[in-house]
Formats: sequence, C-alpha cells, structure tokens
Amino acid sequence: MPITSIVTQLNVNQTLAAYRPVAFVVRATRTDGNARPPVVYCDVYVNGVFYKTLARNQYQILNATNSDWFFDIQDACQEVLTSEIGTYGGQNFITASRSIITVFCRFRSSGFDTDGFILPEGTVPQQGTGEVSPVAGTGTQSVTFYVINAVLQHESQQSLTAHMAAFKTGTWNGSTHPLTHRTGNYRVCPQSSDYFSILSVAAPNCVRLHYRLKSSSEYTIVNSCPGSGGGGCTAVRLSGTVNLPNGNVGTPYSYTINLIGTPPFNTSVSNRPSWMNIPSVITGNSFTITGTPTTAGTTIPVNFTITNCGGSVEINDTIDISVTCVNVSLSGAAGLPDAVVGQPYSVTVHLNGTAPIDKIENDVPAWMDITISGNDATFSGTPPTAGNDIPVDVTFTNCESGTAPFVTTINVNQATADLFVSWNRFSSSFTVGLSTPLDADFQIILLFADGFEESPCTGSAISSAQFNGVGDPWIVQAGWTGDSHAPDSTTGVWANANFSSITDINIEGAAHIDGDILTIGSYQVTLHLQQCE
Amino acid sequence: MPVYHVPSGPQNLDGLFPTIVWSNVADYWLEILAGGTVLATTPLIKMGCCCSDEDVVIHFRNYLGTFDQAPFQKPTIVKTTKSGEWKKSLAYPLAKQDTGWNRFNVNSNDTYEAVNTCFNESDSFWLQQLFDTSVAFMQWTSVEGEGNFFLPIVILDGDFQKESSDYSASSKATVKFKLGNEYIIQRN
Repeated sequence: MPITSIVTQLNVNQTLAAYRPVAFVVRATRTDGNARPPVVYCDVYVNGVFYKTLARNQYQILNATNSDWFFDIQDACQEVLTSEIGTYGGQNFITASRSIITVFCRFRSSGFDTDGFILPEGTVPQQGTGEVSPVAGTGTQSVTFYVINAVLQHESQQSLTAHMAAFKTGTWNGSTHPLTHRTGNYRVCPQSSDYFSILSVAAPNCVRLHYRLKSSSEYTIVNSCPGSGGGGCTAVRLSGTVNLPNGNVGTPYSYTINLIGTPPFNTSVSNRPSWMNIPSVITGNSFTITGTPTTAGTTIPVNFTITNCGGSVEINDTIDISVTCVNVSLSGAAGLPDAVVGQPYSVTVHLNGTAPIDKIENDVPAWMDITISGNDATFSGTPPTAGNDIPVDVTFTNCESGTAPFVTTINVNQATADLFVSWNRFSSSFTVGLSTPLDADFQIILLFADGFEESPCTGSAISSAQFNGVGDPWIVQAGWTGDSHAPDSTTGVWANANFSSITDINIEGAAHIDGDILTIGSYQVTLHLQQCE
Repeated sequence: MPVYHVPSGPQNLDGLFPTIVWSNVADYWLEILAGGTVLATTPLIKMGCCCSDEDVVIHFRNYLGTFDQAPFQKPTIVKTTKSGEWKKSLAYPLAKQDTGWNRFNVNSNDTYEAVNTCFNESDSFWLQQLFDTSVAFMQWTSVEGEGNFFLPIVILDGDFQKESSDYSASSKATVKFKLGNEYIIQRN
C-alpha cells in the first residue's frame, strides 16, 4: 500500500473552522516501494462529491522506508463555504446548507511509468461539470468531518466546539452550539429582522418565547407550535427561586415549590435522599417535598425535572442534613386522669423532642411507676388507697439542657360497686351480691331498719341468706328493735332468723376497705314472708 | 450536522405570535425546540435603543459565519460624487444649449455615519465583529411598495474604541459605511 497510514488527521465528525488549518500528515511510499513518491495527492471530497485535488511533490519528513507528507485543505473549504442571511422578516427555520460542509480526503501516492512519467496511484477522480457528473477516485480515505465558515481568533479557544460552548446561556442540548457571540445586552427594535443561528444535529421546529412587557416584571410564555406547548399550554417554569432548605435528622422536612404553567406536571427524579418524597404527578400548580431525614450528610444532591405539555424545568440543588437535638417538651398540658383503688392504672403521655428522653421523679406516689419508651412516658401502677390531689412531679430531660416539667395531681377514688339483692319467695331466702367484684378486703353489713318486728313464730321466717361476694368472711347484721341476727361468719348463711310481721326490709350494704366504710348502696327489698299460723 | 437560522427578531416573530405588540415588549428570550425538547436558549434580547423610524439597523457577518444585527441612531448621510471632465468643440452655428465641458465617469455614493451608545465594554468582543466584517447589510424599508429587504453595505475602515482607561467614560460606537452599490449614472 503506497499510502502507509494517515499519521495526523481529525476526529470523526469533528467540527472545524474553515479559517484555521485543516491539516493532514500521511505516510507514503512510491508505488514501487521507494521511500519517496514523486507526488502525493490529496483528493478533497465535499458533501460526498469530489471537489478538487491538492498535489504535493515535496515531502515533510523523509524516513528510512517511507516519507511523511503534509496537507492543509482550508483553502479548498473556504472556496466552497459561504454565508447566508435569511429573508427579511422571515418566519421559517432556514437550513443554511452552504455554511457548513461535510469533508473527507482520499490520499494517493504515485510512481513512474516505463517512460519516466509520473503515474498516479489508483483511480484519478474527476470534477463534475454542467454536463458531466463527478467521478469518485480511489485512495486511502480519512475520517469524515465538518467545516463551517468560521474564524477562530488567536486568543480564542482553539477547539471550535469548546469556543462555541463558552457562549451558551440557559438550557442547551449537548450537540447544539451557538453560531454567535451575542451577549445579554443584545439590542433589537420592533422593526428588526433577526435570526439566531445554531449548529445542531436535531432540526429545530418551534420556538418558545418568553417575553416581558414594559409594564410588567413577569414573563409570559408562548409557543410557536400549538402541538408542543402553544395553543393553551403554558410551559412549566418556576414561580420564584427554588432553594431547598437544610434539615435535621428526625425532624419532619417540608418545602413547597410553586409552578407556573399548565398542569399536570410530571417529575423525573435522578437524585434524592431515600427519605425524601417527591410526588411523581403534580395536578396543581404547587407541590411539597416531604419526609423525615434519617441520616446526616452534607451536599446531598437533589436533582429532578418537572415537565408538562409545553416543556420542562430542572431543579438541581443540594441539602445538608445535620443531627440537631430538639429539646423535650410536653405535647399538651400536664395532667393525669383519676385512678381507682385496687384497679390497675396506666396512662401514656406523648413527649416532643429528640429521643432518648430521661426523667427525674421529684414527687411521685409510691405505687406509681414511670417508664419511657421513645417519645412516650407511661404512668402505671395499682393504687392501694384513696386520696385526692396527690402530687405527681416529674421532670423529663433530653439533649444537653432540654427539660420539660410535668407537675400535676392525681385523685385516687374508692372502688364502687352496686349491691344487688334477690329474694326467692319459694325458698324464703334472699341473696346479696356485688355487681363488680372488689379486689380489696371488705365486709357487707345488712341493717334492717327500725320498726320491723320479729315474728313470734319460730322457724317460719327467713331461713337463710347467702352472700356471693369475694373476699374475707363477711358479717350480715339484721336488726330491728335492737335485735341482731348474724349469719354464720364463715358460710354466710343466715340461719334461723326469726321474723314476724315483716313486710318490708331495708338492706344497706357497705364495703369495708382498709378500715374505711364506704356506703355503696341502699336497697329496699319487699319480703313477702309467710305468716305464722 | 446542519446550520440553522432560527427566526428571532420582532419582525420574524410577529408572524408567529401575532397578538404581541412588540413596541410594548421590554425584553425577551427564546428557547429553540425540536419535538418539545429544548435545543438552545438565546441570551436575553433587549428591546429599545435606536428604534425610531429614522434609525438604522445593520446586519453583519460575525466570526462564526452567521449574521448578527445592531441598531444605530439616525445616521448622517453624505453623498460623495467623483467624475472626470472632457471638452469638445462647439459646432457651427453656435447654439445656446451647446456645452463644451462635459462630465463623465460619474461615481456617486452615500456614506453613512451612525452612532450607538447603548452598548458597553462587555459587548466589545461581539461588536468588533461589525467593524471587522466583510459582509454587511442594512435594513431597508421600502417606500415604493416592494417590501422591506436587506441592502448591502460596505463597512468603512475606522477605529472602534473597545475599552477606555477612563472608568467614567460612556461607551460610544460609531460606524461608517457606504452602500454596496453606488448610484448608477448614465454614461451617454
């Protein structure tokens, strides 16, 4: 192969300015293998069609077995390129086909024929004319690249794409570049015709106009394509500036973002902490980012895109999450409900602040235990005695200096229960019971009201009475005219009590708890006693 | 990868957004879309400065091979005419309307000088392209019913003060140009 290699060439699809070197170095040998060909050709193809040939007969470097040849085809590119100004006031997107060309080169070496004339290698290409189409030649082909009708000043970035990227403002597609150096002070008049020129892989078809009237500080957005954001669809944009606040571990996080544009909006999240909730669909013109941070961190990225019918807007921010201890506080006023003697007591109070929370018991009843689990404090125990306004004074603590005094009183009430008395007229017996079992020791005393007279009959009146209570043996007293009849203190059977002419009996019950007598019921029982014969 | 010219001037956008009264617009910017995706975003475009009917808008090819425009205040226009003279003898009998001296090779053109004070030093790299350009046009408003068009002009050599050592100095750009086509004069 007389063209050994292309030592220096461009990158595939690279874009160059036509007024800078468009250079190649090829390594070649003569067709008979000699290190120095008489001529090396560079056939320039523009937009896939042969344009012209550059021929050199002077090598750049002569190597031992071959030689290097330098070509700069910028002149050829400049000859083809031109600039096009759009039509005055035109509304169409113009493809400026003559402002950029697609270029590749084919390199050929040469040798000598038997007569000593120079004989080019391969097929020589031919230029087209008005009547004859161009004919492609052969050769070692370079990569294909682009050349535009641009200049790069010496002080500018010599990579054309990097140079153009320096003049981008706002949102740009990665493969689109501006062909202007306009600043933010670019001026136009109502009578101005103007075009904004871009180099782009994708073909533009719409513009979204953001304009502000002289009497307003707000921008109105309209789209030239009704199907992609115009015709009633206002593109999404942010109402104000989004600046996500930092947060604290364990403290609920909330931040509302207001949107301008036609709902619904969809979000596409690329980065966020796992605890953060960002709604995927936004039906209104605002939404709230929520969650409770679980771990601390700094510069946590939050990146998501909000889109609607007319476009999209990106939110890119970072947040810091720190561990900040929130002092303990009561979620309400201090207070405890009443307790009942002998009955288990358990009340849970919720506390605000960062756990763990501790306590200092300043004044607490002996029967009361206070346990804390997380943010809940539980007061529990079984009060043995009654009492009112029993002080409960606890101080909850957390962090380094968080305190929450819990100062209140508690009432412990006596247990209450209803006595019931049932009379069985057939067996001439009555039964006394309690509606609610009492866990404490107690006694029942039945007192018969004065005025009742004992029957002269013997064995014809109440034969027995039975109490179905629990606790220690009890005493029933029945008395009238000073008499006292007590049932058996163990069995509770009220045996052989003689009554006469008794039509009514008043039964009073009382529970004895720790020596205190509490009247818990008074019952009027009508006894239909059998008359003595 | 083609080059696209996207309509961005008020005259171009007026047809796309016919409800907008451009004389009431303070500033604007464009997002250029392809199928709903943003390809490009223009810098902020400010309305105003040299916008009376007598002012002039110059379009010039920039370093990247496309065209930018800049409005200038009402220009001073000076017509310059140059020609040669030749003399012929007078025929007999003499007539009052006969002339001996004649004018030939008449070259007539207008030279414009216009000023803009709205740009500042940060615009100088962009604006210097106006003074360096080899291709320029000015907007021509037709008064004969044939529609508006771009009239080719030639930017004349001159100085453009890009920056000043005087911090209090105000920026002022003065451009001189002549028409790309001189006035056509009969040669007979």
